[in-house]
Amino acid sequence: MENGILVGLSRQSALRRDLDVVANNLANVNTTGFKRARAHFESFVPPQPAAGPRGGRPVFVRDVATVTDTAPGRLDSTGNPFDLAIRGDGYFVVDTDAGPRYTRDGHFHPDQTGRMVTESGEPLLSAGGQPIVVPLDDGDVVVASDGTVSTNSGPIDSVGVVRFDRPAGLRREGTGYWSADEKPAPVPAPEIVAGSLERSNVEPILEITRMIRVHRAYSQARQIVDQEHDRITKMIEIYRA
Amino acid sequence: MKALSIAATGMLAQQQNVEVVSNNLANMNTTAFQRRRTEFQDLLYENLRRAGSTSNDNGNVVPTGVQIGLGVRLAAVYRVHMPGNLSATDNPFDLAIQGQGYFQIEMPDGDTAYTRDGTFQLNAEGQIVTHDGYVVQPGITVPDDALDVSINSSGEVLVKVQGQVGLQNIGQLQLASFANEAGLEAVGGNLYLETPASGAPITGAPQEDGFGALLQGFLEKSNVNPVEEITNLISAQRAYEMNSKVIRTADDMMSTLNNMR
Repeated sequence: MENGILVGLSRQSALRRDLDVVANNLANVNTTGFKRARAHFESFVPPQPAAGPRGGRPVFVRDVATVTDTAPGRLDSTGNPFDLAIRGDGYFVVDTDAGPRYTRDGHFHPDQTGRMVTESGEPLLSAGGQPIVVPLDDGDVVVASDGTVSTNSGPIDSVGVVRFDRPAGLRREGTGYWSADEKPAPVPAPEIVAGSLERSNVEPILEITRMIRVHRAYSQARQIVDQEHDRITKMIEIYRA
Repeated sequence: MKALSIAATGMLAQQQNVEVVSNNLANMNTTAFQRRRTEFQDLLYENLRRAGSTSNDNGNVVPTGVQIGLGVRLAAVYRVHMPGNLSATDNPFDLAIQGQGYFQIEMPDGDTAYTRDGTFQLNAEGQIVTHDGYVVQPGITVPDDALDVSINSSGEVLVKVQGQVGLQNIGQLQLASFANEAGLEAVGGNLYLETPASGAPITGAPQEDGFGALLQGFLEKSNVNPVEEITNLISAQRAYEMNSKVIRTADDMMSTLNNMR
């Protein structure tokens, strides 16, 4: 009997999740290498009971996925030779205690031993799967567009860039990292832009309009609940009379 | 409603962004100032429906799952090591480093500080010192009777003394470099200190082992690009506004909830 209220409620709880996703996108509007997420909803039709009256079944809404938009963000020149951006598909591989992590945030710097590390101190891996160690007394370190790291005395290593056949399976781990169950394949000819960072691909206009829609839909869901409430009240009054 | 706290992390991050931009602009004319850049990272994610879990007993795997992010955090404020422009000052004790390296300065407490600000002077004893009177390492004393001082690109200090034909070499300035320059700790006064993150200093003479050359009579300006800073300021301000809109929307939605019967 109270299906209308329950349907409205399912709509409202889905919209709250939707707003959380929009809020996270907007909070990360200036986060390097961030990819915007979208909440994906699906209708849910409960199974028809074997006995009881036939008729229209209520359709609830539920969220089934947050989908990542992997569109590239614009490149921002920083002038720092260790800031790397990937043009096109691909991820840098970072070695963490929890296993390899993948990232588009190419802000690296050498640590005290000369390893190229992320801001949290985890080493960037080369195409051979080893940390990249740059010599400290051999002039400027240059990363070429194919990922080759060289100093004054010639090439020393190359930055590993990998891709996934099924990028939708990547899980977000925070701090710009992604994890995957799938084994990545190396990108044969990566295109790396040194001295640049990839900005977040969040489009503020899309997020704000999404937010307005969520806001309005939330009020509408409230009206459904209100009207259902009125209907039930009226029904009770009729029975009383 | 998580959107409230998520948007709050966004506002906080943008506020820190504006603080960094304002410090850059304030130091636009500071000798050898290296502009700072803020680096943000996304916070943890909450898995409401885990990707890779099975959706039924046939073994169908959930391809993407529901992950809700919890906002943003400031990961780092790092110095951009682009050399600034050189400006001529004609002061014989103004030195600019063309390339890598830091001057070593002896602090009053005996520690060594590092700087790229080469505005030096002589003190009463004739030693080469900074504005604050701290001695530039290795302590080089210019004799009282020196007529002219010239510092060459290798850092050798040569003085012309009355009655002598040639120039007298009275010492060579040494530079220091670090594995991780970004790990140096800025202590104000254009000075940096060594930290475990920066690694130990590697010292050497200018123009050797990858060190830059010295240029007498020039100073390195700050590498702040005002146009870039202003555009960063605009984008930070707008992002701040957008996050405040999220807070208002979340608030409105909660008020909708409160007004339900």
